[in-house]
Amino acid sequence: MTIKTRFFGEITIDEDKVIKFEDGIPGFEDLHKFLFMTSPNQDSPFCWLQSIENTDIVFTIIDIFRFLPDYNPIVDVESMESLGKFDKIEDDIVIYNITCIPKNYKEMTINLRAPIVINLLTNKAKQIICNNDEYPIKFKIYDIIKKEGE
Amino acid sequence: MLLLTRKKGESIIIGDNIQINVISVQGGQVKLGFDVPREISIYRKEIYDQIILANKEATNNSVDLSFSFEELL
Repeated sequence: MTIKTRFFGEITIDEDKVIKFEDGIPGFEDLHKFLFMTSPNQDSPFCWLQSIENTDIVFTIIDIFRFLPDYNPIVDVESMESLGKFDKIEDDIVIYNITCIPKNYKEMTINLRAPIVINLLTNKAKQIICNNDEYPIKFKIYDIIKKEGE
Repeated sequence: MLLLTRKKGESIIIGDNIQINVISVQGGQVKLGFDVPREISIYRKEIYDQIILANKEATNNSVDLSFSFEELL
């Protein structure tokens, strides 16, 4: 299938690469199909979730374990079950955090409270609100990324 | 909006399979217990609203970081 992307023009993908959000994403409940895109720049920590149903909607996401190795979101078993079966959590489940980048990009924040959890075996995904009250929805990340890049 | 007054130890049933129990009422705070099917998610509304807001803001990212990452740092 060929889809239009906001940042990368038209691209062709296999149907089985589609990431399915059965409940949508909070604020975007009617969008269920996304394409996971990595950066052409291999060092970039940023990836994207491009809506297949609405070209304008693309989330910039980040693999936060690279910067915060102690990040440990605690999620309900029920939420994980909704993603379908998996064998090994360390192989089959990946976690990304939505990044919010204002005009002054040094103020960029990530949402630690509600990570995107993807089951690579089923391609089902969900933004799960974790039970860690201490994790902010807007966590400033620029300085941490910059430090790692040095 | 339907208004009901409930005391500590009393409950409300919604539909066939949702029960909300008033566990305690103290100093302007009410502690609620929820008996609901596993597939139903329960959130504090203010947290959920903040997540919706953050998601909407995140779709307004104007920067295409794929090529500008190094410049960014």
